[in-house]
Amino acid sequence: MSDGPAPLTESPQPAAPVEAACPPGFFRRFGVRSQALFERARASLSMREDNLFLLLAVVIGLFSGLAVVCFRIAIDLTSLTLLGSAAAPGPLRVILVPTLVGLPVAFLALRFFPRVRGSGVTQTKSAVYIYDGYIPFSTVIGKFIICALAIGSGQSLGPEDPSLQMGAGIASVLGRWLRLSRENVRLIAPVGAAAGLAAAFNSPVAAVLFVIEEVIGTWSGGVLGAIVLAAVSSVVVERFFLGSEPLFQIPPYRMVHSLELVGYAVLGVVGGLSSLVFVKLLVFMRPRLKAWPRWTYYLQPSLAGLIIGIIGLKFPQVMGAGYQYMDQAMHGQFVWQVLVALALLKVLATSLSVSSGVPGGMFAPTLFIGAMMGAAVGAAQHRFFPGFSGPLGSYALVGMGTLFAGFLRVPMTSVFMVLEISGNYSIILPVLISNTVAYLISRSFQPTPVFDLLTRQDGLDLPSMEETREQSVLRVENAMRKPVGLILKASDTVADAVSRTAEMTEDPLLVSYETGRWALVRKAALESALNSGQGDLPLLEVLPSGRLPRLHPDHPLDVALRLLRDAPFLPVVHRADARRLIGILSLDDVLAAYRRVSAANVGSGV
Amino acid sequence: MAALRRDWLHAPETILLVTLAVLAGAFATTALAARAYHNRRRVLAESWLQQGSADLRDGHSAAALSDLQTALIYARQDVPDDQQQAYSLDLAQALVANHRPDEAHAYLIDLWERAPDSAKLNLELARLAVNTGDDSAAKRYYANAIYGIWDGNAQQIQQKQRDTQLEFCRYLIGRGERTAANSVLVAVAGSLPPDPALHTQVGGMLAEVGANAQALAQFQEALALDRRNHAALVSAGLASFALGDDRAAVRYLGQASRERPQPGQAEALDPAAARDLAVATAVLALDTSQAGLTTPERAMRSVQSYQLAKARLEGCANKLGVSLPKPVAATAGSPGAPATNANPAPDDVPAVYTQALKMQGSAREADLTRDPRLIDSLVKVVGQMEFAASANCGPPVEVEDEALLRIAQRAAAAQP
Repeated sequence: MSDGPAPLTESPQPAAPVEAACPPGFFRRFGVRSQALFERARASLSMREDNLFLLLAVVIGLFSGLAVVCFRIAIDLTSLTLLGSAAAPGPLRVILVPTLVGLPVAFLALRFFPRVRGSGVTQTKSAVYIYDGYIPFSTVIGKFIICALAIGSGQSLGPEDPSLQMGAGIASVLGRWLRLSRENVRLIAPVGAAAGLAAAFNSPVAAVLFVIEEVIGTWSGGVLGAIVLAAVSSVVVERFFLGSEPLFQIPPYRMVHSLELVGYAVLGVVGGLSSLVFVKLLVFMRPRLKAWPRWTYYLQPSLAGLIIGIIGLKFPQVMGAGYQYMDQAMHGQFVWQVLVALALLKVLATSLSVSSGVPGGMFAPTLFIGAMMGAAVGAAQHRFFPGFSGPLGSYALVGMGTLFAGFLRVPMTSVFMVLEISGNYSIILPVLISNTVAYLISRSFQPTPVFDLLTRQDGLDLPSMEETREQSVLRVENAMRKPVGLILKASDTVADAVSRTAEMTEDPLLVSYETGRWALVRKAALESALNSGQGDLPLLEVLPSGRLPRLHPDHPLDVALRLLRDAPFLPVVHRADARRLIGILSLDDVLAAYRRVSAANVGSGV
Repeated sequence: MAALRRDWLHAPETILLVTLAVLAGAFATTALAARAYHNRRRVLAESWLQQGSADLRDGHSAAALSDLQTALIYARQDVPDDQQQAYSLDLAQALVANHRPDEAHAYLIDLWERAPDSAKLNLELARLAVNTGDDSAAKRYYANAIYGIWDGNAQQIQQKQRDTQLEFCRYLIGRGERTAANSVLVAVAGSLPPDPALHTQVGGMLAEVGANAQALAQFQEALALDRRNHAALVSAGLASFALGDDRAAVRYLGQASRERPQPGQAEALDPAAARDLAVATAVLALDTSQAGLTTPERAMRSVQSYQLAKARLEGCANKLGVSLPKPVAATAGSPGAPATNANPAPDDVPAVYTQALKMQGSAREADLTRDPRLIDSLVKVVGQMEFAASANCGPPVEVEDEALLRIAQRAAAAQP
């Protein structure tokens, strides 16, 4: 991954002649004065590439925001048309709509838009890491139509994941149209992904963090600005058209008693175990359904729809994204038995929808399951420990973050998402406790995150951001060795240095300056200086003025490798006193360190 | 030429112009779609709200709950906040009707957090707290509601505040907290508009908490505005009776009894008021301490009272199966033998009766007229007989006995 947007071209292209950019006869008609104005305008438009990148991020954000607004409207209108406006639709509709709509969904996905199947997150990662950021516009169109149909008809999926992919797709299309370099097209897709997700979630910070945590994996300064700009622009558009109401009306949080935190730790355990159940069921069902004959792919969404419809007869809340029911759970609208039933049925329904190949997102179902589990734990705590229980809505809210941390394995996003949705910093403590517990449980029993499992099931080998984050970084201190031989001082005379090093085998030798500077000198160079009559001169007058790079023990080996270049070895010095030599590092030392780690990994089976 | 066209197509200016054009087009299209979408949601929210409200009115609380929940889903982003409050309030009422006060509380608290000074929300929360028996919360929310922010013009706001205060008073009276209720009522009474019904209502509540003088003042205010106001006349009569002003009681209740009966009532006065009127009339007819009475009139009243009280005591003794001493022949004109026990125990029927018998010789109008001092002694014995009869046989049944007991009680209270 690059540290920032690479130059659009290796060297700035000379501006194309104005005539080339305008229709023939243009200036003949409007005169020379207009030509001068045009030239000036054009010159002002010729901005630096990084500025263009940021401007493009804003444009991507605007387009993504518009697309997501239309997408959400399409989902709602589809749902109103197919299922009616009642919160609990009639039984015939509940059964028939998801079953029958499953047929066109499967047909469109298999025949016309094969790239829309699967998770938008993994699709976007594939685009970034395999296809150089290429996402065809047909994927955006297909995702829009098919997901609106599927979610609107009651499939247990959410709009965020498709929004993310649509944003990435729009960014990719714009990037290609602007003839961005391959590197920049690859970078621009995550920018669009953040914009799409931010608009869908109405939470720019969580979206930015998610893309960093799950899609690009690093805090790259160059691309971060673009991602933030795109996310903010898209949220502005979304709020302009759909209102600034948050996704949920969060009841205010207040900690009643410090023992209440025990309840949140329990919620973390419940959330971690629920995440495990969800992941295991999903990775169990998906390959099995995929192994069925290909012709059944056309029927699997219908079959999933039928089962979801049957569940919906008793629990219509399980159908669709279910945001309104999360809101109701936050306001204590369900008894704990219903909450647990809803959470478990949602796990089943979502696993069915995803495994049957229906495109759609798992964010909303994850939040749904978390909200229900959280509210159930809250209700239990209210019942058994009423003196130590805060508002029920807080448990539901923290539950959302907990499932996010446990199932999607994005710990930072999960914390900030809750803070952003609630707008209440005081909930941080319960969130941190619950999310950490859930994350640790999930990671202990399911080492590979769900998105990585899904991509591996599809035969792809994309970089796992969690694994990347947790890879141990080798540092200079892991590879350096103790300095041997004589260290010359810059104040020593050449003659003295030659006499003192005559018997030594080491070559070259380190020279230490009073200023903390270091240099390497070869014995042959010393002898040559002596022979040319410079024996009485101090070394600092004889040695070339070039500065030898120096290392510190905490430097990653990657940095050391870059600094080593042609030097046979480099001094490793103390950070507080550059004259104090701690060790030396050569290319062989670095390679030896990598070999040791590699051998250890093989030994431990990693 | 083709290359030139291709360059022109990818020139920054072209891209910028096309992007702006596409962006403008997309904005316009999205704006149209969003407008239609919001309109549809508003319509749906409104129709579900109407259906839910109708269901709630008709007592179909389960259906109302479902309708209102649906209405709220559509109202969330497409109905202004103040109107959404109405949705949530209706929903909270439906939840209460469905015996789900906790959920109603959650909704209301959520709204309250956003508008803690909303009087309407505080009132609903107070009602909910009353339902759930949370006394301190009820009082807190009632107080918030009274001093909160109401919608409407000044007159409407005053009326809503007053209604809330009266509701709060009814709650306090129901809990037996008369002093607290009285303070609120006094505050309400001080700012009542010229409305006889309102003065009568507040007066009635003041009477309930035992503030009869303040209650009477309110009834009199009502009568000053409408002198034939039946409810005010009756209430003023009852308050006057409670205050011991029998003359005023007879005046108010007498006037009320002459009015046409209230719709739905056969008589102008209900039985309790009619009884009070009769008792007060009897008091005025039997009381020897009335101003302006001549000695013969006082003597006649005291003899009449003595006969009535003695008959009641004898009836009581008979009912209890207590044997009473025989009357002793008294010499006419003699003041009667002094009592063996001038102050017998009030519940000792035979002792009181013995005392009464000793006065029997004096209980003649002529003797009493000759010696007016005996009137007071006789009246005292009458009182003792009424107290004894009441203590052993319960409250008096006859109007005259009640009047005599009332006279005796008043006399006892007036003694130092």
